Amino acid sequence: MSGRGIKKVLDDLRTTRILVLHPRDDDGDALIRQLRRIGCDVRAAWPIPDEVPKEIDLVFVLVEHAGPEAFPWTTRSDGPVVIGLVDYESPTTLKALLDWKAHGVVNKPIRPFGIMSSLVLARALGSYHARLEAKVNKLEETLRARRDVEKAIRILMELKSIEEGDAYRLLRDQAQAKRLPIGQIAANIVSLHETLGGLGLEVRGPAGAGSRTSS
Amino acid sequence: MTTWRVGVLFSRSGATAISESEHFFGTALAIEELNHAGGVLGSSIEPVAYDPASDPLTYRRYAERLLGDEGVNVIFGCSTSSCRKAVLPVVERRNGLLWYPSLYEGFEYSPNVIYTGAAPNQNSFQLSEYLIQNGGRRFYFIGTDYIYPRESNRIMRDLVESRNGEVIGEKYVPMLASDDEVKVVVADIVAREPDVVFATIVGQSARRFYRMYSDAGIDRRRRPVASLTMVEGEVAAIGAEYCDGHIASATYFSTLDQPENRSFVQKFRARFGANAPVSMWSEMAYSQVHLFAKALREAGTMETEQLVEAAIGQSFEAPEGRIAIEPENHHTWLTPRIGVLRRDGEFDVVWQAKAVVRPDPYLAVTPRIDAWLAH
Repeated sequence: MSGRGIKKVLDDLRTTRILVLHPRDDDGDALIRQLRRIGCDVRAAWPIPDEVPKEIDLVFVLVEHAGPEAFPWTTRSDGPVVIGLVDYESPTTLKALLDWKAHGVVNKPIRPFGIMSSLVLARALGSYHARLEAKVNKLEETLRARRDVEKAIRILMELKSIEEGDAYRLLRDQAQAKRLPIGQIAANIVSLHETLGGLGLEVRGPAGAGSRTSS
Repeated sequence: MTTWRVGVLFSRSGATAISESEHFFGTALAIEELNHAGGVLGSSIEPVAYDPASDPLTYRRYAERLLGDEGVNVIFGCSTSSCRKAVLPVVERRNGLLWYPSLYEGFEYSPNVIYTGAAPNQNSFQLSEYLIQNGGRRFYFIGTDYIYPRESNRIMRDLVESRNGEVIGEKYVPMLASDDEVKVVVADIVAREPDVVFATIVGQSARRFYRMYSDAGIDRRRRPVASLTMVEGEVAAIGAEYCDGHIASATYFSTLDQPENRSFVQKFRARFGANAPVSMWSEMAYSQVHLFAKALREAGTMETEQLVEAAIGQSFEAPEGRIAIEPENHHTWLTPRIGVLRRDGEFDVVWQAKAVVRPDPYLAVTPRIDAWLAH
């Protein structure tokens, strides 16, 4: 067990900006006071607002029968991690919990014991989830770029009657000269090629007397 | 109602019989004192006591019995964290109120508990700072293998490393460790020559450990053992000649020279014997009964919510000085002190905080690192 790692768990907790979305009653108070005891930065609001401040990392939200559809902030890609507060374990509530994409749950009535565990776990799962999502987005982008590069290479090979390696180098040199990602240059070529093709301006290779576009 | 019935749950036998018996004596002394003075609101306090024998499951069973069959709502009890954790669910489920007089590792809050012992920001922080300011760089940790030592060591490691100290060893022994298990650790300490040993070893194995430490010929002035638990009663059981020079961080020592304490020590010894050791274990147990009585006088009922409402914010001129229950976290404002053990088994208080320190069980507001001993 590393002392440093544990210190980080605690420090993370204390720098987490928390918003409690629960009516101002005994349960709401019990939750807020326990979060303050732990040393968290905590605010509260009710009813659930249409927007939550950008700097909020995590919300505790009372999950009733209604889902999160009415609240735009829940769909933000950099939105806060959600911990559901539940009164019931009825199928409707369970469904709502999933709809809220909760990473943790705390049962009512609120008991101080267990809140910290939910908090640590939700925070860790939430940021893991966000990292995975970012990675998937980046991979998808790379994949798309690679497809464009392949297409652009084929276009250049045909237009200039050159080998694949030369076509690639041409593309790469262009990208460097213009200081753009190679994927973007490729995408430009592909889309230009498609646009011109759509206008009936078929692009031909050098066999067509060297002109870049000829009818 | 003819009497106020309360549960008393401290071990008179088992691994931690010594410190828990002191809890028991302190509790008994306060109850007798209150009853002698006419009780609370005209009724005397009637203790119902069991001996849970330092065993968590027995603790839980007796807590069930007290809050169930015995119809008691308030319990003075528990010492080790494992026993408190065993009792806690019962107390919460039955909505009772536990008065817990021991120092512990913090990171807990229950609306059904009043914590009157020190939290880490009231003993560990001051101890690490004292040791470092007095030349401690290379630390060695020995503990009994349960939650309190592991968590206290985690906090201590944090404090030591943040001040460029180093933990050169960390060893745990079972609650009922054999001679051999303790001997191995002592040999390791002899070999590694740390500047100071931070000990969270408790109970019978602790007594073995301190004797072996002395028998190994380690110079206690140069390489003292520092702890949060090895105080007057334990020292008497081991023999002060094996222990002088060791260091303790506690909010109470029996040598405190103030009227409340002189009177407490005198009453305690009149009741339990002229040579009875007096320590934080009995002092806090004694003081929390008085805090309870003040709250009860105000609330007029043993019902948990009302009693707690009356208890929080309550203060008492305790033998260690003024103490008060913090409303925010149900822990207690206390005065940290550092003591060095003398040959006669009592402590010289070498440092004490200028003012009472607010309890911060989650170390939420305590600045992490600071010159803790600065005046």
